[in-house]
Parts: sequence; structure tokens; C-alpha cells
Amino acid sequence: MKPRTSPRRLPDQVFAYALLVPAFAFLVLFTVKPLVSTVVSSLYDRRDEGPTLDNYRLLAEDEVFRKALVNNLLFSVLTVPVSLALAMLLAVLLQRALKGKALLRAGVFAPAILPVVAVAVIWLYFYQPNIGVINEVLGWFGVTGPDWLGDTALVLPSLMAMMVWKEAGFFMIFYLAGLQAIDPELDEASLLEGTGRFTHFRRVTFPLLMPTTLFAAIVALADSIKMVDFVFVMTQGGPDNASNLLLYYIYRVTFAQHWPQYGAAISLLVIGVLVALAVLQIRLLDRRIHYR
Amino acid sequence: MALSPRTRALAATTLALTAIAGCSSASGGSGGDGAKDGVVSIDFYYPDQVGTLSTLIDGYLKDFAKEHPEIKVKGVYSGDYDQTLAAVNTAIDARKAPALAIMDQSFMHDLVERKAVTAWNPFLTSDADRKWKDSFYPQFMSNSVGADGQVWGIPFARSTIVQYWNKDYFKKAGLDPEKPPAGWDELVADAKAVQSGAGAKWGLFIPTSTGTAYWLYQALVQQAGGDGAISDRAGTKVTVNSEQNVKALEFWASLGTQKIAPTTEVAWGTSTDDFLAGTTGILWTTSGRIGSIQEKAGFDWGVSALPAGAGKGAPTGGGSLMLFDAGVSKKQKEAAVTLAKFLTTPERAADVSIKSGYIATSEAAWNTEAMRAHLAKHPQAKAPHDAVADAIPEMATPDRDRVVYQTLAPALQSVLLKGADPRKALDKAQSDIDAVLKTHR
Repeated sequence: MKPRTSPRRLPDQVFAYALLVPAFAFLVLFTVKPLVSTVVSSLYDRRDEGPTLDNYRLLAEDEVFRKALVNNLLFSVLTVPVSLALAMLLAVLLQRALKGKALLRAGVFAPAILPVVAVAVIWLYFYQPNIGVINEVLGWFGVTGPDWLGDTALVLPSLMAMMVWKEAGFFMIFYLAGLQAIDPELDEASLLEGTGRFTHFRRVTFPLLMPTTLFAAIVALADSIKMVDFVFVMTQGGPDNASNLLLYYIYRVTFAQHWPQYGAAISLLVIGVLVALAVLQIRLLDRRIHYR
Repeated sequence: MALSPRTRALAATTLALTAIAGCSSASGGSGGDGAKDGVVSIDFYYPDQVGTLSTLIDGYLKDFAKEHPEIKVKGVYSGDYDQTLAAVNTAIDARKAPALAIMDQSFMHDLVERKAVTAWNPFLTSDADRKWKDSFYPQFMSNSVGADGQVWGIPFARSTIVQYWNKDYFKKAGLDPEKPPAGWDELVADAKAVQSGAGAKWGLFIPTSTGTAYWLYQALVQQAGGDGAISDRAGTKVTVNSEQNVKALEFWASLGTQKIAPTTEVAWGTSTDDFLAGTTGILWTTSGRIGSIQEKAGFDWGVSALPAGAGKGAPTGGGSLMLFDAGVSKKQKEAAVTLAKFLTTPERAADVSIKSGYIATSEAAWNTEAMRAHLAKHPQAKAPHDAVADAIPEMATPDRDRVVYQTLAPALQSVLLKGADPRKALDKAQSDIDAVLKTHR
């Protein structure tokens, strides 16, 4: 057969770029353009006069912003490791041959498929001081439970506990997948050598799960900053701003106070912090990861 | 023409993309003055804070469609007041504002400052129009009229703070169940009696939540002999650190130290449940809760105006019908005015009041037959009407979210929940609020 020749043929380079055009178009439209306009917007004042650095100056003395930042850092630094540790523990436990394993796995995973708003409504009633489930149970043991969401010292830890409950089941799934990928021969080798279960976990399972941990840690960190729906439902950032988180504050500034320029300045700072943290995580953990 | 398969694929993709872009621009532009074949179309956003209002409004809109075939209303349920503000803000930015919306009355200064709303005055030209405007209680109009006399809102679904008390507890404690506390001393004494004599866990709940603390604080300031309105008519001058301001906050904080009320947050949302469950003997909250307490209380209860001190009266709260400007034609605004008149007839104001617990907005509404029949059956519904006589304006400023929620509420909470010094907290709030308002004068 005669080789087919096209009458007009595009050069490969041009064709490759042409194929990428739709992807680029979407990237520019939904990522680059918003980012650029956020930067530009943050340089204007509330009456859209500028450019000026007033928003950033204001940021330095904004007490509510500082409080939201500290709250959010606490929230992230505590919920991420606890969720991951719990997820890993649950995965290792639920991987074994166990009666009712499927049911237990489903039970642990259930919170992860619930929408955050639904979780918040459920826990709002768990936490009610007088009619809530938690204090009811404490009451059986003669303990008068505190007001979980109404106490400035307890509100943030209470929200953290809820977040861990929701996230642990989700990351357990990743760890279960990670465990499937570990060669069962390693298990047998440990058994033959008489290695203890804990040593096996520490020296074999844990290191081999590190790639999963890195991935999960980055997702969990992003979640701990971007999932704030429950603040709307449960506390509105109160009392006394004790549960105000960054994204909630950005929402309030941008929409409730109709000050998108200042909201843009805060957003940029948050993005900066997130990127820095992700880079740090990858740098720190990458050295200790055993890729096969 | 012979094209290579590659080129053809490319052409197809380009075509598809163009088509997608075309679709979005075609559906985007409704534009014009909203008039078509003599029918005017308008958007109407309405929030629902109590859960019964949206059904009522849906019904009214159906009646309106029958009576006014020349106006096509698209009713949009928009969540609570804060969500409605966010929705309207977004619509304004897109220059597709609703012609009419029910907004929290205290958003007025922000909206006027941003020139988002249109005054009602140019649309109220005939004597009948002016009579309609003047039919509403002046206490309710005080938050709707600017310092220059322009009318920016028409009252709809209004409320005030009232006092609910558990008569069964009062009886058990040896108090007169028909006599609610009328002053601060009585309030404290009755609350203590209910705790020790009737076994109530708490004596008195005055909600301290971020969203409403300022509102209850206004009533306390008024009772302490101060200016309960807190803000001036233009909204740019706020006083929160006068002697009376401090005295009011000290009294509020003393409830916690005397163990009459918790020193944790008294949540606005659940305080009614707590009253219904018998957790507290006395509750201050919105008159809008009469309906649900009526429905659910398993004990004998009463409702009255708040106690008086050196001063008397509670702030009003609730919604205003507002006209918006961005992308709304004159014809659409006129249609919106017609709709507003339809929604605020005495009969409908009475209907809203009876079915949701909001206070009927005019004397005529209170004198309708339906209202009289309702009052004969439920005498408690009269308490909010009595409270309106002394009602004061709700605190309203430009940049309200920053002033009220972000500055004043945390200051009050730091005293009530964390034992901070009232004077220091209020002095700091005053200087923070002044700094915010300085940019709006």
C-alpha cells in the first residue's frame, strides 16, 4: 500500500501546542486570572482608589486577623498529626482478619462521606450544654459537663475533636490502600525471624507508608485551612473570636463587610503560608521516604 | 477541501469551544428594562429567619400574580439576613440587583453609603402613597429613614425583645405567677427565687451570642438610663463607654457572678429550647419566638415587655423592604413598589404576625378582624404590641459587621465570659469603633 500523505500537515510542535490550548485556556481562566486579579485588587483601597499598600498595613494591626491566624495555626498543627496517627492506627488494626471487618471499616469511613455542614449540625447537638448527648452521657457518671461551644477556652478544642473524627476515617482509606501495596513476604519474614509486632510496624510498615503519609499530610493541611463550613453552622467564629478561622474571616471581610480588596490581601497571605508549609513538608519528609 | 485528520480535529475543538462561549453569553444577558409584551419582570429576594415566613411569602406571591398579571415576580428565597446581604451584594456587583428585597433594617447605612439602594420618596407622590408610608408605627420607621429624611425602607417582619417567664416555676417558688419582674432588683430576686425555690438550673437567660449580644445590650443600656440606641441617626457617632454603658454591662456580668446565669455563652439559637426544657426560669429574647413557645411549652408561661430602670424600652429588630438600583429600570422599581404595597396591607401584616410571631407593623393591622380573633384566643400575643410603644431604634452604623460583630460583641463577651473589666473593655471598643467610623464620616 502506498503511504498516505496529507496534503497539508501541521508541524508536530504546533500540533502539540494546539492540543494544549484548551487546557491552558482553562488554567488561565480559572487559576492565573483570579490570582492576578487578587494581587491587583489587594493593592486598592475600599473605594477602589490606589494603588496603595494600605491593606497590608492594616493587616499588621488587625487584631481579629491575628487571632484567626493563631487559631488556624493551632487548629492545623494539632488536627493534622492527630488525624493521621489515628488513621494509620485504624488502618493497621482494620487490615487484619477480623470479624465484622467490613462493617467496622464502613463505620469508620462514614463520617468522611458526610458533608461538613451535616457533620456540623450533628455535633452542634452533641455539644449542647443542657440538652446535648455528650453532657447527657457525662451526667450518668455524675459529671456536670461544660458548655463546649460557649466557653472561650473549650470551643476551639471541641471543633478540633470534630475535625479529627471526620478526617481520620477519610485518611484511613489511603492507609489501607498503602498497606495493600506492602509485600506480604515482609510480614512472613518478620514472622520467621520472630520480630515483635511493634518492631515490625516501626521498622517495616511505618517507613513503607511514608509516601502515603506525605500525600495525606498535604491534603489534611489544606483541608484544615479550607474546610470552615462548620464555623458558619456552629459558632460564627465566636464567642469572643475564639473560633474565628482564616477562611471564615476572609468570607466575612469580603462578603458581609463587602471589602473584597482587604479580603484579597488576606487571601494572598494565606496562600503564601500554605505554599510555604507544603514546601516545608515535602522537604522535611522527602528525605525520610523510601520509594520503591 | 482536503484537510488532514489533525487539522480537522483541531477545527472541531475550536468550533466546540466557540459554541460553549456563545451559550454562556446568550444566557447571560437578560438586560433591558425587564419589560416584554407589556409585562414587567422583577426579582424579589426574601430571607426567612424563623422558618415560617418563606411559605407565607410564597402564598402572597401567588395571590399577587393573580391580581397583577402585568407584573411577573421571581421570588428568590435567600437564606437568613446575612446570606441575603451576601447574595444581594453579589447581584449588585453583577449589575443584576433584585428590584425589591427584604433586608435587615440595620444594613441601611452600608447600602445607602454604597448607593446600592434607591429612596422610596420619588415613588410616593400621591396622598394615598404618603398615607401608606405614614401608616407604619414611627418606632419601626426610625430605622428606615436617613438623617436627611429620605425613606430607605418599609417595615416588614419586625420584632422587639420581650421577657418570657415560667409561671409554674413562679408558683412553686412562692412568687405571684401573674407578676413578671418589673425592675432590675425584682429581676435578680425572682431569678434567685426560681433557682432556690423551684429547682430551676438557671434563673435568667440574656443571650450573649456574637450575632445578638449588642441587641440585648441596647435594652440594658436603656434601662440603666443611657441612650439605648447607642448610634446616632446618621450612624457615624457611637457611644459605648458612658457611665450608663458601663453600669449596664456591670449588671449583665453580675448575673454570672451571682450564678443566676452561666458564665459561658448563652446561645441565641438554643436559649428558647432551654426555656422550653425548664433550664431557665426567665428568658429575654425576640418576640418572634412567641409562636414556637406557644406551640411547644409544656407549662404555663407568660410574656411581657422588659423590666424598666432609670429608662425603659427595647430596640426593634427585623426587616425592611428596600429598592435596589444596580441594573433596575424605573418601570421595574414601580412594579416593586406595587408589590411592596401588596405585601404590607393591614390584612397581610396581621397574617404575618399571627402565623410567624412577628409584630404587625401598623395600628390598622392590629385592628383587623383576624388579629382581634387571634388576640382573644392568645392574649399573650399582645405583649409585643405593648412593648412597641416604648421601642427604641436598633443600633445601626456603616460598616456594621466590623463595628457590631467584630468589635462590640467580642468586647461584651470578654467581660461576660472571661471576666474582663467592663470599663476597660468598653473604652477599647469605643476607640476601635471610632477608628472604623472615622473613614465613613
